[in-house]
Amino acid sequence: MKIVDGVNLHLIQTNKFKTNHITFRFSGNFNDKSVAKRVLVAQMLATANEEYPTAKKFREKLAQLYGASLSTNVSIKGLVHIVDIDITFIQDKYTFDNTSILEEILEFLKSILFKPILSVAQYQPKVFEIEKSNLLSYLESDKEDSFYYSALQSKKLFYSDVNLQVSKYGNTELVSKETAFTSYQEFHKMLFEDQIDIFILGDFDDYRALQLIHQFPFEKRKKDLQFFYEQNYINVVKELVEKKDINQSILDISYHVPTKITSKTYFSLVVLNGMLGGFSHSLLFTNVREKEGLAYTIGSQYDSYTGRISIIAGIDKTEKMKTLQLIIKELNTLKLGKFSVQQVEKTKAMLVNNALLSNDNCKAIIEREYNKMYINQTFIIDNWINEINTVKKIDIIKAANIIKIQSLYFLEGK
Amino acid sequence: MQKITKFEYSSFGEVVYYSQLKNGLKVYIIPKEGYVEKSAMLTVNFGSLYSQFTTRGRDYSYPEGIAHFLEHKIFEGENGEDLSLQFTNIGSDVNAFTTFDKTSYYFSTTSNFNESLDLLQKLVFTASFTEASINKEKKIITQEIEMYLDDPDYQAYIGALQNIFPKTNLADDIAGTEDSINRITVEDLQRNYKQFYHPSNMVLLVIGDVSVEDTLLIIAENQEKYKSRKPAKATRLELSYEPINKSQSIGMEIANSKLVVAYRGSKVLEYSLLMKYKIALRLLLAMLLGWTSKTYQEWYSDGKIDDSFDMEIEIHPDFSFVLISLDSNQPIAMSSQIRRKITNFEKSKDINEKHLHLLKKEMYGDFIQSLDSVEHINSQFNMFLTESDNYFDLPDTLEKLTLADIISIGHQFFDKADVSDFTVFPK
Repeated sequence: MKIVDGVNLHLIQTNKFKTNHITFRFSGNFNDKSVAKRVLVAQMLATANEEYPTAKKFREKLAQLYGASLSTNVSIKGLVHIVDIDITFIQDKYTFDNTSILEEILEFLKSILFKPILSVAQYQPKVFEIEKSNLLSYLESDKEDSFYYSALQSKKLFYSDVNLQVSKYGNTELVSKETAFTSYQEFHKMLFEDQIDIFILGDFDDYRALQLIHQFPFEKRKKDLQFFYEQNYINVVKELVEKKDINQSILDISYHVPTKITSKTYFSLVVLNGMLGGFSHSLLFTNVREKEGLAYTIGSQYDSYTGRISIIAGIDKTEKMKTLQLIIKELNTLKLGKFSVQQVEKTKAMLVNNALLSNDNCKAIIEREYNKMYINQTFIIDNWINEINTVKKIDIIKAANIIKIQSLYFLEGK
Repeated sequence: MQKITKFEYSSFGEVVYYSQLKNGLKVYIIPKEGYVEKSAMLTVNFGSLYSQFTTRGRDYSYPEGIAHFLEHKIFEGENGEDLSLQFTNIGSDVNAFTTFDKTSYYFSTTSNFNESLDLLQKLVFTASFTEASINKEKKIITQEIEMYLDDPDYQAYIGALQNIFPKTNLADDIAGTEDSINRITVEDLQRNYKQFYHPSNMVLLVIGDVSVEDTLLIIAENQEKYKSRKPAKATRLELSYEPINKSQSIGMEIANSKLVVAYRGSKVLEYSLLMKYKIALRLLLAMLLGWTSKTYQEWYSDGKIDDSFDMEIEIHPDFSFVLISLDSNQPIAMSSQIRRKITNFEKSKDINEKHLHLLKKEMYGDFIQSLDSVEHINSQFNMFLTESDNYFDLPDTLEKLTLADIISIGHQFFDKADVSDFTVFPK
């Protein structure tokens, strides 16, 4: 339901849960100019505001609301950068004193958005500097996770667009450049120009929720979001090897997948990815791990927004060539159709199982609602499941023949 | 028909059914109406601490990591096939994990629940090990161990435990070492399997929108298939309380030091008080150093700590420890500040009735939130399960705890605790 142009409220009633959930979502463009600012804003939003000016006061307020959990989460869908404020809180009937928690939470949310912690057109420098330096050290320590690090490096190698080479959290260089002023300007922009979606899910009074949301002083805006990104296939496989003082080596391979595709091809690719490395019955898991014992971690992921299938394997450095050959062999298995119909059916059953499981998870229900509204109307769950179920062996063979190896990243350990 | 005991928790709308089968298997069922996910977890009271045990007066000792190795090998069928694929065939997701004292096997599904439940029992109650297959498994587990070796947080954790529990299995990686797992033989696996994988040494927990009577009936019928002689009772080697290493460090490729201040509690606790003890310590530490404390605020706004600051409390009948971990560029100074706060906890202005009331409210809310996740209930229920109470008794225990109780338990734990530092420095 529209609040003003570009700001929508989505009320999802269900009495399955004992908690209610609110997601306040900013959707804006993903690029290397704004990503660091937006991540800093996300940090600030979850730290303090004018009414609760210290982390302690802010956290006390949440504790008082029966330990309402508030966090901000950053994600990307193709070329769209999403900043969420997620709040989960218990329903009134489980309180000792019948407090109306939803009302208090919405008041609190309003003050987070419209009464930020400021000193003259910028975030209060003292609070901001701490959050900035924390963010810098989180970004530093993220690199210590070698799987995460190699995933970032592999992305950098694969994408030709500089914007997509950056992590959804930005990087230390970009964050260092930002100030209390630039970040606050970005927040202002987000609040006035981003597409905003407010999701309220659970068992609550619709009318009252709507009334309270109407008191938020939103301005109308027009935001065109472009989710899909198409990159041309380059006829040379890009390759990068980096050495690090670690025990396990990581092989991270990217495949190019077109993004301007029919929905039939999309569903075929989803099943293909499941067959390749999505589950424990997948080709990579059964052959690279179980049969050859080369890896403990092995799997594949499909990003339909940017057209990439990535395969990751944690291996011994001496096994690089052998693992690579096996991976290429498994892809050929798919291209040549040397797999059974049963394998296809198993994969479809697991995908359907996972889709149904999302019915038990508040945030997953919200995510689906968003995808259905803005990305593909056919993504309502029953339809999604039907489409998966219509994928046949021949469709997977066809899909396998449109994906091409594009880059090879190897993080070489001791 | 089996005898079923029903426990009702009307204030938060949950029910637990309990029954013990003839062969000793304990079954808990938690119905979750309206949920599509159905899950079951079969837990064996056998974990990494059991690599040395006594039965019929004889001592046995096996290479470290044997429980975890067995967990991996359980997934292999008679002809070398991967049994997890049978779950996949019916759209069910299966997995397992090993801890200090338990090994759990679980599945989650939205359809074919009964078949999955049969499969879970088949998985755990049948086993076959061959020389060739265990050699291949050694390669896979070596990769798993190497992955942990590259994880600085995990290295800090295990280093802290090595400091406070030297020469015990608590100091070992649950997966063992490359060397220890290479010493594991087919006979070792068979011996341990026979000894510990008996229904009388297991708990089966079912969560989801299922019929209690039917489910119990199916389990009981199924159990008829796997009759085995009950082994003589095994007692794991008592943990020895050696003098601790007061401070140790290693270097890794990291940006900022990681400090763990580790407290080892004194020996044996009363079994029935475990939950009370655990909650009391959690509340005490949350009041003293949690994010609503003045100390946290001061350290946070001085840039001394960040979100990596964490407190972990493990309370078991024969071992207990508290780990306070953080990323810091001044680990030595932070260690002494943390120690000082803990030694003088009673003098802290953060320890008071009002603060306690606030944190009790918060903990109660966290508990209610956890009830919305089948996965969460699964892990918490197992963790809190004792002869006398279960996870759903948490709100009641929480409500009854007074500030005086908490202070007294704080003294019981910390006054006699041994304390140690473990630091991972940047290379």
